[in-house]
Amino acid sequence: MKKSRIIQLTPCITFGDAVSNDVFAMADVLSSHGFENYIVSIGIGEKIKDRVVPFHKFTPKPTDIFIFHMSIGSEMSRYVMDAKVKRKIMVYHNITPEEFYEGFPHVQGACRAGREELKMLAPHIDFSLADSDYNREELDELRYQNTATLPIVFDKSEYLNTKPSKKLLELYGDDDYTNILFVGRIAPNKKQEDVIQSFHLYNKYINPKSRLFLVGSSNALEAYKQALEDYISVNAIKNVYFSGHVSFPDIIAYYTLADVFLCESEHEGFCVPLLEAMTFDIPIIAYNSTAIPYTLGNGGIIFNEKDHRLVAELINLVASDENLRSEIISKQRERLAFFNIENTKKTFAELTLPWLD
Amino acid sequence: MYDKPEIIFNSDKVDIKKIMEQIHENMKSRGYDIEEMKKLSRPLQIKSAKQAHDASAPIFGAVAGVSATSNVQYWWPIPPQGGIKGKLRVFLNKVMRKLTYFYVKHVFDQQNIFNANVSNSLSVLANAYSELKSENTELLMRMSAVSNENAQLKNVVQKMNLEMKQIIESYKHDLEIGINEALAGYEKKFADLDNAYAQRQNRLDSLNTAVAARLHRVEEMLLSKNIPQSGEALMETSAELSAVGEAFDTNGKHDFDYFLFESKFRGSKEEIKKRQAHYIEYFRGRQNVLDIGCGRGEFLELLAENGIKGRGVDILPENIRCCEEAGVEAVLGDGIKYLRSCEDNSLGGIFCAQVIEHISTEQLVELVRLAYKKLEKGACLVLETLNPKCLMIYAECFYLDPSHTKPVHPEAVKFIAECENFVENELIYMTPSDEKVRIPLIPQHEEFDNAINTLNNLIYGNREYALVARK
Repeated sequence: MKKSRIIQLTPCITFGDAVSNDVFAMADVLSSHGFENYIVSIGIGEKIKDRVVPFHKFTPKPTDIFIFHMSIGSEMSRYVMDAKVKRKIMVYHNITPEEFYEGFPHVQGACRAGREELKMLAPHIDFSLADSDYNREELDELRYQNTATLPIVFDKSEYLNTKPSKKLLELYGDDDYTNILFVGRIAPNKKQEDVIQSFHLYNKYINPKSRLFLVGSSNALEAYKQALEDYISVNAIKNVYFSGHVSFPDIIAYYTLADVFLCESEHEGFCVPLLEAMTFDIPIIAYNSTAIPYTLGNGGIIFNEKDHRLVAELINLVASDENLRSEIISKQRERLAFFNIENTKKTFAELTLPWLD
Repeated sequence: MYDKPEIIFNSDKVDIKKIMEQIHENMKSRGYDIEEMKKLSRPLQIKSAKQAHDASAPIFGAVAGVSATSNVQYWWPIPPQGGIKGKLRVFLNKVMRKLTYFYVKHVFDQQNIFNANVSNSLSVLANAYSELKSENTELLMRMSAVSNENAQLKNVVQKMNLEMKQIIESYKHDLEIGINEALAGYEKKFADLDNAYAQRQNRLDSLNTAVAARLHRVEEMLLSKNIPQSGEALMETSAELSAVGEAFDTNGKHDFDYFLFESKFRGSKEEIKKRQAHYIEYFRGRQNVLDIGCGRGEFLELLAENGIKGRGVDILPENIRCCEEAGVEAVLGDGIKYLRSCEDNSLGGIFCAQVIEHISTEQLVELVRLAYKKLEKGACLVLETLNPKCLMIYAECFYLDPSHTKPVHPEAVKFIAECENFVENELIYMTPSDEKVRIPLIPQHEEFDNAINTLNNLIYGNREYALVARK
């Protein structure tokens, strides 16, 4: 009997973001197992447009199997719900709760819609993969049937094979400053103000020769970035640097420069930057929230309360105590091995192939 | 009560408890400013676009500062000092100020002009910045809104495209099914119509034949009769017309097509002619031979072929038409009535095959009597019929024809002929049964064989006979 076509659907796909990487990795696995498979998306990035079928040009067949990547509210959810195809599989990358986007109606609307669609999709999905146990618990609460956890596909070789941006290394590399780093979109759920506050105490009371790099774009959330800048200005906080939108070599440069990775995000479905930090042996200090403990495992220090003095002191210890630092890095390396791309692809194949007959 | 640990990190090599102790010690010794901490912990103020405009306030402050300090004073004040040394220093300073005044004034004037220009420029730039910032924020907001709307529109368009595609596909599918169903329905209807048409056509053909026959008969009647002059003649014509109508109606009532029946069971014209050829001998050298119940005119043809003039009479219009087509003379009507109308002693012979089993004994007697009356002297009457002495005829022939009234025994008909004064009355037996069907004899069992022969003759004897009676 002829194998079904496997159609991966994602509302948006670009080059390099976590969900898109996941989609392409799954496509590779599917192709390697001889499946005719396609990627279908609404918003398609310029670089990868040749590999993706535009949503409006796609016509499903009743024998198709859908793999729907759910990360935001979109027309696609309803489409997947209504589609008459052989089987529907969902990969759940989590949706930020709308409360974080108070004052940003367009983002808030998309998140709210996403959550509603997630509830409605439950009875239509035959099998679901969640990026983390946290995501999987959400699906189980919504009574999704046949759920499993599959880590997001992460290829560390891409990071290690990319040369860091020289300009940044020259600018910040040749001094005795301690560089604190957080990577993530400038967004309310990431709580950059908390990272700034903790850093400020470290900078002001412990180590003035320190910088904070906040790497990430603030696209569509300019007012939040403005609020952070105002916060910095009003509280006379020094040495905080916003990277704005950066190139991949720039990101590598920031990881190369960083001494400590500090994450105080309050909502993450997986948090790929934690694996990036592990890749560059940067000790991680992170707030205990949502999927973060799953992703970190025992790699990195997790703190339960946002006591910024404690965090400042942790930064200091991790940055200065070689013993502690090397132990954290060692544990992080162990954890990173768990997310080995080949393992993840193998797990994907093991979990998913029985649903693709 | 379970105390949540402050940090989580499991390691054999690192003592977390010790680390936490150190952290807390450090926290105490750092002298963190609690008031500042409170201020830092205030929720973030996310401003609207208009509020963001106020972010340019620090720039205006700075510009104002530049403006306030732009005018540099070159006649700087020299404060008094105590003591002799002090007074001397003040004096010397004043001398210096006086001595350098002209030179410094020139430089400072130029500096002040430059400062004023810088201050003005900064002010202009600050305003421009403020406007740009405001416009930029506005544009960003608009762009965000437009991008959002664009995304929504795109989704709507894509959804509409998809829906249209699905609707078209669905219509196409439904249409195909509908057309196929309709076609199948029409095909069936056409087939039914064809059948119905064929049946109607058959019925129409039958009706046409019947109507044509009736018309033909009426035409014959009208043509063969002069318009009656007297009341008696009118009565006679009327009686004949009703007789024909009666005979015709009888057929009609039974809804039995005798012409068709005969065509099927009587055999082909050639077979009949072959079977009847031996009768020619009895009419040779004669003229004016009458064939009563002439059928399709087989014997009339034989007569013609042998140069004997003859004519036929038959009750079925179809048979008369066949005779016309064959070029032999025949009239429609009842044989006995026709015979009655013939001139006495005028007929060179009367041939009447397969008729007498259709009529009553009285009609038979009348037929024989009339025949004797109408025949020339020495002419023959030939009456052919089924042989009732052969029992097989009942099984195979006699009851096959529903218009047969009763079989006529050869001796009975011979007796009637003798009674009517015919002089030579010969019975000829014909159409023997197939030898194969006869019960076989057993050699040297004479008595048994005699009985079997009797039985064989009784059952499988000659199927037909003819009486040849000569006047």
